[in-house]
Amino acid sequence: MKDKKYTFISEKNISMILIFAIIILCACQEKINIKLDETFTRLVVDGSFSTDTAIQKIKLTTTSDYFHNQPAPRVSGAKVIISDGDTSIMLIENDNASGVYETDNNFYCDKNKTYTLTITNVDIDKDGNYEEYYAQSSVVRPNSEIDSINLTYNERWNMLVIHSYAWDPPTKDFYLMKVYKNGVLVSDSVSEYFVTDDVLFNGNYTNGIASQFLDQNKADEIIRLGDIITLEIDGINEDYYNYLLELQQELQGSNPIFSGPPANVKSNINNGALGFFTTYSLTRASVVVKELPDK
Amino acid sequence: MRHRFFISFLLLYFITINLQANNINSTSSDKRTISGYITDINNGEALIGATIYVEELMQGATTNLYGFYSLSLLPGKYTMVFSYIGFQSVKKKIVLNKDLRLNIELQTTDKALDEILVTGDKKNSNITKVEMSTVKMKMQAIKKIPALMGEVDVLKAIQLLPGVQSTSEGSTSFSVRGGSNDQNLILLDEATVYNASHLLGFFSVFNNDAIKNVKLYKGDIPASNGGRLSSLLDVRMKEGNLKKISGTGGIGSISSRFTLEVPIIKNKTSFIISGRRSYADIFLPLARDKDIRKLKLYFYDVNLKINHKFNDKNRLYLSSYFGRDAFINKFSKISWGNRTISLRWNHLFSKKLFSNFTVINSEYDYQFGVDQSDALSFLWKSSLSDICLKSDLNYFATPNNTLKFGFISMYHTFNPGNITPTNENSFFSEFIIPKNHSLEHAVYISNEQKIVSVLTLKYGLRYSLFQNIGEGTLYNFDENHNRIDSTHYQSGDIFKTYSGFEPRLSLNYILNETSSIKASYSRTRQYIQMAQNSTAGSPFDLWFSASPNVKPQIADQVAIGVFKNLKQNTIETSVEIYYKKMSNTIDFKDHAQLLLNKELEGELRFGESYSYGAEFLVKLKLKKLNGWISYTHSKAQRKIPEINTGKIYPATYDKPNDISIVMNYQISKRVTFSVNWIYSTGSPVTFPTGRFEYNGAVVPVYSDRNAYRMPDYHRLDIAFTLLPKRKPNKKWHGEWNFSIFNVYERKNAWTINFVTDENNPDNTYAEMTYLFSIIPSITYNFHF
Repeated sequence: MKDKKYTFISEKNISMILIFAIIILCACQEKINIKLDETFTRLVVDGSFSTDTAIQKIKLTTTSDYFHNQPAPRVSGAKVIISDGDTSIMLIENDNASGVYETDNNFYCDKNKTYTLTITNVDIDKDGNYEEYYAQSSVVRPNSEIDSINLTYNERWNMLVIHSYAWDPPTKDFYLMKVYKNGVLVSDSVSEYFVTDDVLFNGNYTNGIASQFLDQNKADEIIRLGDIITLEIDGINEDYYNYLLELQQELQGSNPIFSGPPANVKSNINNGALGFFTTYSLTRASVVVKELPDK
Repeated sequence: MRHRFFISFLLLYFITINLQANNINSTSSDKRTISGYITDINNGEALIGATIYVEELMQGATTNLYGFYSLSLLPGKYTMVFSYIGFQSVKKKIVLNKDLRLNIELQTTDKALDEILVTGDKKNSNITKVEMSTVKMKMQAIKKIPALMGEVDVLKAIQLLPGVQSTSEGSTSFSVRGGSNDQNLILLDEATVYNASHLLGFFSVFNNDAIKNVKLYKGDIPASNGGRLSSLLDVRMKEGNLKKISGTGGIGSISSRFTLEVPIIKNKTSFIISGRRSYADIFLPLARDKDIRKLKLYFYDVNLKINHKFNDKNRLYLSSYFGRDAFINKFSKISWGNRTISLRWNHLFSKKLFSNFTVINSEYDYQFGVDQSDALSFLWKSSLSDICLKSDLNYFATPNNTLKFGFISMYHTFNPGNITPTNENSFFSEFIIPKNHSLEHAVYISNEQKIVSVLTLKYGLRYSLFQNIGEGTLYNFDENHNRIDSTHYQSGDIFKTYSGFEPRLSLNYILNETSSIKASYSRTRQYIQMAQNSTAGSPFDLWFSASPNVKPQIADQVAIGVFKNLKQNTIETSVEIYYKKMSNTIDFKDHAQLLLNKELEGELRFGESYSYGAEFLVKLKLKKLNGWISYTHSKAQRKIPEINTGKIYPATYDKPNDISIVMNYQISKRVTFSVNWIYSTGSPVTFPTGRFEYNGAVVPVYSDRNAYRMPDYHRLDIAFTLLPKRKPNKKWHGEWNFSIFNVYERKNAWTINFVTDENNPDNTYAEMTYLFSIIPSITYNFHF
């Protein structure tokens, strides 16, 4: 299989280092005006359902012109059904947040089941007829059995490294790791997600592998004594893993030396819709900050 | 079948050599041969492409790449004129009643007066020569072209020619007639240079002071060369002064260079060494930022060459190049470089049969490492190397027939990459992509034949054969490019063979003394290529070969041209039209991972591409004003079924309109003013046409591939060359060069990114990065 781990070395890091070299030489940046064409409107689905028992949400929006410069238009009044083959649940639109559809508070995804999403009662292309959208998520992946986490400080990068100690199943697995500080999600955007496969530890104990980072140069990530740091490890399927990697690649900008041509991120929803529908298993482990790094 | 052809050709080849060696003159006993070398009287350098003209017969010949000529004529009295641009012609009356050996030394004319930018060999040689789509450039002329940071560069100079385009702002990588950067064969003394760039492509590896001759074939590539679809750039190093110790050098704003030429045994053995190093990093300690102060960023290169004349029939050349770039910061080190060695033996089997045998080793490697003390420590290495054996023979049958034939055999080794942790606690484990090997052979034969005085034909046939050879691992893929399994081959196992003919044909029909029509057709095959989907190219080049999963690329090119000289050949004009079709073109799937991927071949998508264009050129060779104006109108497109939903899209180097004006004007004996202005349509790019939100991020929805264009590119550069007053009897000659790059400060976009405003995540805007605003520089050059 692909050793995606090394994408981390190859593209991001090197280009950052070398581009830095160019920039100290001479590069300058400025905003410019560019006229872009419009494109037809598409439905966008943002729905990830976990094995946690909780209210789970899906957000429906549409695409807009590139320089729209407003929040994405919400899609209201849709009929959203999620099914595991035996039972189907209809999600209810939140009265206070249009376009956000929710389950009740005892919903959870069952491991080893496949879920489907059906969205009807929407007319995105405004032709007067309702369209139907459909997506299927692969089987919910097993997750690693997480024992504990600990923190170390990396002086060079001025960041806190969160190490995880967990058992990885012998299967081919993919993980998405997020970090919370006092219950608030710190890695709150796709670019801050840590996405990895298990190539370096397949079937083994992860033994303190670096799993997330808290950048001590960023205000919302600075730690204090007594803070509770929580690492969330999501067992995700391969499709979603690839989706996140492509998304991260598109979000990091490009340059003529290292970047290939930009390309659309592939969705798993039919009928030309964008976004992703996925299910995942979830585990968490926390640690309390007892000492601050020497700086 | 085809193998048999290969073997019989080799047999034929050696039989011919033997026949020639044993039966000197037996084939044309009624004729006598006059042959020899033409050299520069000042330093003994062979003059490539000098002309020999027999006035009585109105016929002539030119010297080959080693300065050798041979003419077989009926016995008689002749007046021979030996000439070369920039040199005083020599006229000799000879009585040819037996075979004659005549070595000629030519004296340079006063350089200040006769400087010519692009050289021809005879005043109207552009009309009379059969070859088309080729340009020869003289180093003296290249040095006058205003350059980025005063760093005169061969590869930047050729980008100013019609049909040649830079692939990205400031980059030395180039595209010839709609071909990609890896379709150019760059040879330095016959050794392949795999990555011809320094400093991320902003400067080339060629040190002007070590170079004697540069010739670019944009089409009509001679049968003796192959392996790349689009062009051949033949760079020849100086041989080294055979007469006296001499030196050349320069101090510039980016680098300094020095070349020393030493005759070890006068007129027999000489030695040249040429070195260059950049010193941008010398100023970094002055930077305010302490991280920048610790940076190291440099390149250097060394050219070496020794040649020895054993006698009139045997001469040996050993040439070598090595160069390296390094970028070191506080936690990592990146370095890359080329090494080439070529050993050549010129041997005269007879007065009519000239031969050259070459052994070549060429290597390119890069490495990237993180400091051992870091938990993320690792060392990543990748390399490729070639061992090559070749032989080229020229048989000067009659003044109307020059036969060339030979063979080449190459053994490629690719090490696509391996990573080893350099620290026990490293986060990384060892990762190795298996090495792979291949063999590439070719035999060729070609003849240049004057049918009647106005019609010359050049026809040739090359047969190339490529083989994947073990030890190696082949990954097998299904129709959706997913890996099924892999096969391991033992050392020496040949697991795939490709071969084919590559015909070459060109003709020249001379209308009159000042005009001619030329046409050419060529087929070229390419078996190794680069995995690269960025436009500018990077040091992390990864070459890969044809295999059971990757078919060789094939190009067919036709071109037709009209050539016309005006005002006693001081103005040359030409129009060339070409059409090129390439099959098995390789592109890469969306979001391809090219580096450190064992299954690279699964990322490839195949299709076809074509390009066509018209190239207009006006070249001035007036007394004071020299230079050229060129305009190219062209199109380069690709059609790959699995890319861009199968729709045709423009290649990234498709620039429909391209203008270059390159001029220099001799203001006085001591001052030359040069200027160049270039304009080209912006390169095609993919821009977003919409956006959507996912998990808090604004994600672009893109247009079709390359549906937009960057802003048009244009730039004006100027330079003054100033010769200080020449003192008599002084050996030292200095020269000041003042140049201004991008005089009117055009902000040419290097890249355009679409970014989300950090303060307001709903806002997105376009941001342009440009590299060079106005850049003045001073260079001092000298020679003694």
